Order: sequence, then structure tokens, then C-alpha cells
Amino acid sequence: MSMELIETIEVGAGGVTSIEFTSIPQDGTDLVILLSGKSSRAQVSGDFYFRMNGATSGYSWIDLMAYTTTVYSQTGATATEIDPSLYGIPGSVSATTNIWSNTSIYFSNYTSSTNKAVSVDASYAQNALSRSLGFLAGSLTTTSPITSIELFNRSGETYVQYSTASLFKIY
Amino acid sequence: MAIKSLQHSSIRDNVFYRSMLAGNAGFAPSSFDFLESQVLTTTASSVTFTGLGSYTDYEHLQLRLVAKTNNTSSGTTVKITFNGDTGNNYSRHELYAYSGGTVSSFATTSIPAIYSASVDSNGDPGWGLQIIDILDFGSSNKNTTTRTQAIQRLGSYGSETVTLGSGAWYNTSAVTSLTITTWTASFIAGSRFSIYGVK
Repeated sequence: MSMELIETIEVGAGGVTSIEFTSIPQDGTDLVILLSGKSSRAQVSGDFYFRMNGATSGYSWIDLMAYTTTVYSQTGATATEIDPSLYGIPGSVSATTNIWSNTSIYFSNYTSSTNKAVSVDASYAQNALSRSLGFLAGSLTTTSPITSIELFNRSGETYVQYSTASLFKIY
Repeated sequence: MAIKSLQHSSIRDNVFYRSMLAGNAGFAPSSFDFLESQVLTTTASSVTFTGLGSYTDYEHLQLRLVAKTNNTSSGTTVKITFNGDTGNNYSRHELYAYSGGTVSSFATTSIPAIYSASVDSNGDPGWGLQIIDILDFGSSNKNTTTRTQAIQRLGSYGSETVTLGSGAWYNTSAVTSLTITTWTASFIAGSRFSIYGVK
């Protein structure tokens, strides 16, 4: 097994509303995204969602997360995106100054003609208020290979400057 | 002596290739590389990797450890510090399941190290395994964060622990060294600590 960097996107001044990987090569078995990001959202947690191939339906997911010392689980049975928003990336209130996510997203068998499985391991830490981390299993009902992935904010905020997202191919 | 002719070739299509890869699979450099490792030959209270600032070809680091301590009564928490900073400039957060029981979480702030999950002690049959991702370790614009996946098998006590953890170092300096210690004990011989680079 080898891992090959496909692309790294670093957000510049002013931020961006989404980070998109397009023209994903079709000669790998799995994909991995490593995200060190931060949202402009004026909350403890930032908006963080992702979609594949531009699809706006057909997603389902379940997660297990901890917010400080409380453990939760959430599900999205007929979702319009995968939603690790509570632990995937921090927002930009004062308590999150210079706090960045440490997030991994894994896409299994992404060129297959079967439904696509994804998993997320994510965390961000804050020294004053609260901390959040969790992991998620999700799927997209599609027989098409994954050719694009979009990480996006849903509420009009941005991913702030110095956010980085790297896409790797496993083969 | 210079080679003046090639008598045999595996190339059969009579096409002129400029690349030395002709006839072979394309070369794709790995983006996940082993960088260095320390395997203890005797008990040690700490393990330090210095010179991490030289790994400028890499965006991220991954620390993998398989370790056990000389603590005889229970598992021992692993502590990680960066650049020799032992001030109360760290926090940690864990989500874990213990011995098939309920899932729990705890968090600690303003502490002198990232308290990672526990590894096994000398009386346990298992060795603690931890994979710790350190993203954007060379950035001078971000506080450094870690994400840990850990397992620990305390078989002699009838229990196991699986953990997803996070940590933060509240300092925007690029990481140039990291030190691994434990809460109360020392790592025993055979404990292995490895650094990988991710481009």
C-alpha cells in the first residue's frame, strides 16, 4: 500500500466558502483528506459539511462525539450531506483563537460501482471553554466513482486563511 | 569501464524511450514516509525526537508508539511536550470505552503536557498502541493540535480500552522537537517510537 499526495489547498487571505477537489484520479483504491482548518462562524464549532460528486441527496451517517465531558450520538438517515460539523472544525469566537481542527476523512473503494463509504476522525481543542471530538461513519448511495469532493460551510461563513486540506490517494 | 553496448533488452515494441522507466511501472513517490525510530534497549523515563524542523518536505507528522511501562499496578498515561515547553500550555480531550462498559469522555485544560491515552504496564499481556497525527507541525500561524487513536489491553485485569483523543499546544511556534514521557513510570526495553512524515 502506498499513499500519494494529489493536492494540497491552503486558504489565502479573505477565506473561501468551500474547498473543492475536482478531477480526482481514478487509479487508486481509497482517498484520504487531512484537514487543519477553521471557520469564520462566530460560534464554538464551525460549519463543516462535505459532499461527493455534487450530490445533494442519498447520504446517511451516524457519529459518536464528545463535547467536553458529554457523549452524544447523532444520525442523518436521509441527509443532503455528511455532517461532522460539531467536531470537524472550530469556529471563530474568542475562545477559539488560533485553534485548528485535526481531521481525517477516509473514502473507501472510491472507484467502485457500489455505494460509497466514508469515515471521519476529527477533533479540535480549546483551552478555556470546551473541546469537541468525534468519529463518523457515512455513505452515499451512488454507483458512480467519486470524481469530486467539496468541503463547505452551509451558513455563508468561510474557511479562514491558513486552513489547509490535503487529498491523498491510497493504492 | 564504460558500458558501450546492451546485448539484451526487455523492450519489445521497438519504440524509442527517453525515460529509464521504459518497460516498468510509473514511479510515484510516496507521500507517507518513515523518518526515524527509537527502540529502547533499556528502561527510559523519556524519549525525545529532535531536529524535526529539518523535515521541511513534509506538511504533517505522525508519531506511532508501541510501548509498555515498568508500572506494576495499572496502565500509565503517556505525556507529550513540544520544543521543551513544560509550562501549563496544553490541553487534552478523550472519548473512550473501557472494558465493554459505557462510553465516556473527559477533558483537562492548562496542563504541562498533552496527556495522551494510557499504555500497558509491565504485568499486562498487551502493549499499548498509539497513532498520533500532528497536522501542520511546521506552521508558525497555528497552535499545534494532535489527534490520537489508541488501544490498550490490560488482560491481566480483565479490561481493555480504546480511545480517540485530541490535544493542543497553545503556541504558534513550529514544532522542532517532541518529548514523550509517562505520568509516573518509565518505558521498558522493547518500547518503540517512530516518526512518519506526510506530505
